[in-house]
Amino acid sequence: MTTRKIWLVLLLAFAALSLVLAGCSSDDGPEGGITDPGDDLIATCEECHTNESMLKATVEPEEENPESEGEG
Amino acid sequence: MPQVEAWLKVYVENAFLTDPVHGSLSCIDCHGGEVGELPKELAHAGMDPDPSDGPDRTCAALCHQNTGQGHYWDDSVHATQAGYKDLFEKRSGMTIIGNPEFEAGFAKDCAACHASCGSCHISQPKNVGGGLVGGHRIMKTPDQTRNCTACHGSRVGDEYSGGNDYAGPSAHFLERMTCMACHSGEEMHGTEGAAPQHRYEEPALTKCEDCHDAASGGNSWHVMHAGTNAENAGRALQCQVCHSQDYKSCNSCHVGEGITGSSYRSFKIGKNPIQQLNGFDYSLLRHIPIAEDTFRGWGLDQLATYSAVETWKYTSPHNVRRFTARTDTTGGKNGCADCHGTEDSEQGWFLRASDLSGLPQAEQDANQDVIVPDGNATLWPN
Repeated sequence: MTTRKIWLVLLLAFAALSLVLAGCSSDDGPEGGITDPGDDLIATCEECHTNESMLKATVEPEEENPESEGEG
Repeated sequence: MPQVEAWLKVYVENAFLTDPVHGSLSCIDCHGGEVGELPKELAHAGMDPDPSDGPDRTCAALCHQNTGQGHYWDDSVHATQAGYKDLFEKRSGMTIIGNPEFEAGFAKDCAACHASCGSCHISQPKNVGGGLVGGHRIMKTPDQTRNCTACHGSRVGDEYSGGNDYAGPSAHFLERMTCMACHSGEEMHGTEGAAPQHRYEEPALTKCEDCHDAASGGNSWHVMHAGTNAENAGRALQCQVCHSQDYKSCNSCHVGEGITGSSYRSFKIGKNPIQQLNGFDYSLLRHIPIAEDTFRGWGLDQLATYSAVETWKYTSPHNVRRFTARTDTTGGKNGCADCHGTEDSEQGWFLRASDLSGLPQAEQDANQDVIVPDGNATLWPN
């Protein structure tokens, strides 16, 4: 393989890797992905409690059944 | 009760945030907590999930004072659970308040049935796991399934909707009437100053005659059984005696352990234990799950005055119909003898001494005032 071809392969590989990384970062971005908000982010109650995706990802299902099915 | 996904229980919808009144408050105004703090454990520090309850009583403190129509009052049995405490005290001869062991037991085993404003107007009640009902919208009218029958499901809900395989739904259910058609906000919130010790003592309690005038129309069955003339004085029947279908009774129950045995089908007419409240001489009775040692989990081995209160209690089943096994006269059924001469057995329609014979002596003693005499009812003394 010539040096020119090797450079071409490396260039294509770099481009593909860049696209993959870009895709991952957009999944984690503010357009609807799930993200760890980190310690330095200021959040309001509404920002969390109106974010369906984040609540689905972070609210843990209850392990125990409700105490009652309505005894009255 | 349909299960609600955990995330949906805390999901707040725009419908609430754009509410011009309640949506204009900040979350922290009512719930407390720390703005801007993450992770959520810090943000939720000091947060009260139900600020309408407890010492803050936010709804009342901010706007809904304990005066005026439609507001939460301290006299609502939904809030006070006065009936629980009153009957415990009558059967034990002791008070809950002032006895730390009983107070702790009550908080653990009984208080989940205490209702706050939010239990009916914002979220599901605590005893079914809570959770916002409509994305935190403040619902003027509660959700019948997720609020009313979340607590009143196994007897009232099943009877009303025909959930028991031995009885059909109520005529009112078939007319698509909701709980709120009969049970007004005034009844639910309680009458100021009334301080009822029993749900049937609530002055705003709904009554059949609020809609149905039994005296009109010349119905001879009503005339004979309403006790409104001199000949029939002392023989007034609760409407449900004739118009209810069979309903559910239960056996004993122990705090922390639940009811012993399955519920069972019943229909028993007896002397009305709350005649002074509603004027009926005879009513339907439902066996309720209480035993002498029900509260042993609270350190009370025996209820010292167990026999002071009947265990076959006044009941108003919610499966009423115009025609029932008592009122359907087609084909010559249900002349006088079919009711008045009903057999003296478990299947008979009256609660008699023989129905108590399998019960402990203390429970037999408790029910002496509600059983009817033996023999044919037409021969009873007035």
